[in-house]
Amino acid sequence: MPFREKTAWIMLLSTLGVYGVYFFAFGRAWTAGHGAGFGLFAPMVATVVALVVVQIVLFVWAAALSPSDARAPVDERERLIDLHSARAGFAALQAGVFLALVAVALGIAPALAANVLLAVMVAGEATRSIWRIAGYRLGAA
Amino acid sequence: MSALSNRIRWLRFEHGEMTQAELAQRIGMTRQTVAAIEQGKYSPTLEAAFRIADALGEPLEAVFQWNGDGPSARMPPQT
Repeated sequence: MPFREKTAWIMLLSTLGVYGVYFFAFGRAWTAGHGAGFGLFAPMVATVVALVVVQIVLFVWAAALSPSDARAPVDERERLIDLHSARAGFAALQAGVFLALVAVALGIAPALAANVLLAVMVAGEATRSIWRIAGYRLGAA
Repeated sequence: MSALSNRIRWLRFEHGEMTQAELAQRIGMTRQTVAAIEQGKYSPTLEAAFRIADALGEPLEAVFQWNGDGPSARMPPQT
């Protein structure tokens, strides 16, 4: 698997994995009735730190496996794939933010609203990574 | 699949069995992009097409062919 496709997989799986743990913990707290007291700041910061650490370790590992690929400059096809995937990710983000705003307008709890918005950002990032993987697999013509 | 076809694979073979990686290095692209162009999965920019033709020592029309049904496809090749 080429290095850049590998980085897209790393982005996708690490994002889903780390935020999956966070949302699982939040979901358990919410269903147990402690959602509002879950504490937004500390778990979110811990999640972001964990994500950064996991991604750095995996990127270094991927670069060590194919150092010449990792050093190669991004070419026009890869830039095109990045542009397409950014557009898809932004579209997902826009749709998600719209739905989140509807949910806020319907009066959901602030703690839930904050987590819905976080989930929307994660979904946007996951969409971008999926689009990148599809671009590398299918071509960007 | 694109209406643009190419003879890159054959021309690489004719040029001392040049590898995709060697061609990619000469034109400043990744091997995966060269493979995608060869397979018709990606249509290169005009600049990249000229760079590929230049690296293979051939004119552009010897490397890339347009298979659409427009006027350029009906035009006989110049000799």
